[in-house]
Amino acid sequence: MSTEDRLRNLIGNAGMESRASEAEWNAFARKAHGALYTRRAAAALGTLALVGVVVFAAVTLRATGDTDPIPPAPAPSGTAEETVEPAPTQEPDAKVETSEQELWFVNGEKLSWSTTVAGGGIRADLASDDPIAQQAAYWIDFLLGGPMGAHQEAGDITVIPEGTELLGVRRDGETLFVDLSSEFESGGGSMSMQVRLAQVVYTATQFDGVESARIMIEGEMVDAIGGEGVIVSEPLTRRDFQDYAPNVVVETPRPGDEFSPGDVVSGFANVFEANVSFLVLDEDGNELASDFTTATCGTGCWGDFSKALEFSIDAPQPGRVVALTYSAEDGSPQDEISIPVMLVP
Amino acid sequence: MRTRNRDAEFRDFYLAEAPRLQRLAVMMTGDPERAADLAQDALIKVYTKWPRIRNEDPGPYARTILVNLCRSAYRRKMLEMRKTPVSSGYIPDQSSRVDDSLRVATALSALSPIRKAVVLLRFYEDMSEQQIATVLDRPINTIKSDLRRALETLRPIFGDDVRETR
Repeated sequence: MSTEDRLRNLIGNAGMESRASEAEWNAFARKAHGALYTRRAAAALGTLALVGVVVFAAVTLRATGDTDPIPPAPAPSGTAEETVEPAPTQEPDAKVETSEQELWFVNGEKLSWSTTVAGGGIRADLASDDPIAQQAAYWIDFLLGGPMGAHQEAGDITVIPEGTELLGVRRDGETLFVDLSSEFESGGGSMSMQVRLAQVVYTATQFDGVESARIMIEGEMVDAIGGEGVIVSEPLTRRDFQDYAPNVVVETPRPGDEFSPGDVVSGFANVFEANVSFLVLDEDGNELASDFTTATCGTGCWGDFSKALEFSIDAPQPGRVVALTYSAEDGSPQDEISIPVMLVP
Repeated sequence: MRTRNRDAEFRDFYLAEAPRLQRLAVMMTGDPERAADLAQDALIKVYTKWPRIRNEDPGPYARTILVNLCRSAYRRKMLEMRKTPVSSGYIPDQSSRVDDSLRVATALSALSPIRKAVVLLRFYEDMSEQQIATVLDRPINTIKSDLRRALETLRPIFGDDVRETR
């Protein structure tokens, strides 16, 4: 008897057919209803939280007369910063410090840069001894929830399929391993797959020391995702998705970095005549420096840019490093990327 | 989709498929208790996605989810599973009162989770290599290779000689 036949016999003995009982179905149905209602409640809570944020923001703004919860900066085109303090999801003892970070959604056929202020409890299964991995997990989980508030008002959408869950995040060297549920692969064509990957990769690579992201599905290192077979066998970087990037992408500094006089702002851009401008703003939004450089390519091609910015301050303070371009038609600012940093003398 | 309508449609699927999925999970994991949880988790995922998949054949989708859950559970429990007896030299004891599904799990425990899944989908679910490739989202040539290597691994465990070829 061959190994194959032995296997068939062995497995055949285990495979006697039977049907589940009505009692088993009833027990299952109760649990399934619970799962279904939990999902629906989470969606409803998200909507309520959004309403709460809007109401809270309106009341706060009226009370203080402020127009922005953070130091003012040139208003990003089509996006806005949003202050959200989401309720802890599960375990109160695993927390991520409140910070302003990038959430990469989609506007038109391009990634849309914006930042959000948030922090708080993180799901117990995403807690990590590695603070960078834990912070990244918090924000990627936030990204999977889709745009809210100001993001929605700006017309941002997400192409990450509803129901996609973050199963885990870990860091190995400069690569962040992001484990997503199988829903991430569902629906959409090649472009949708690319853009949803770009959303995760751009959000994941904003954190200190993280240069690339390796996508995993249901705990597996996969070589490709979706029916379109988009290759993910290697760690992905922001530059792998230039087709969907905004016209200016800042790679350094990163949100929360310290930035001192002479420090370099760098990235890549595809802008008119390759001209990229920069501002350094203090905590009150006052302009500390204004400069520009020429990327290595422009007007239809991607080029790298790098510029050391000189400015003067007396004491450490929150501030922003802004990269932008000015319209060739009317000189108005556009393509703005405003990175929140800690300015240090 | 209203819950009542969802239940009415899903009930038939559950009654027919739940025991089979649970046995598949037992054979994948060798742990009846964990298998019951994994099968239930897979069925709940199918249930919550039902409006999107009801018009297709939900059976393969359920097996995809279950295999992925089993593989994830394997990784989490790898250390624990390493402590289980190695099956090399195991000869199935047909007279044993041990559950048949567990006997299969023990016989297959020398295989990696993915090859175990390939073997079970082939010989338990009677799927074609192409169907297995679809469920596991792997190239068909990889499935053929997995199957061949799985049988090579199992051959000495079953006490067979090496005359077979595929």
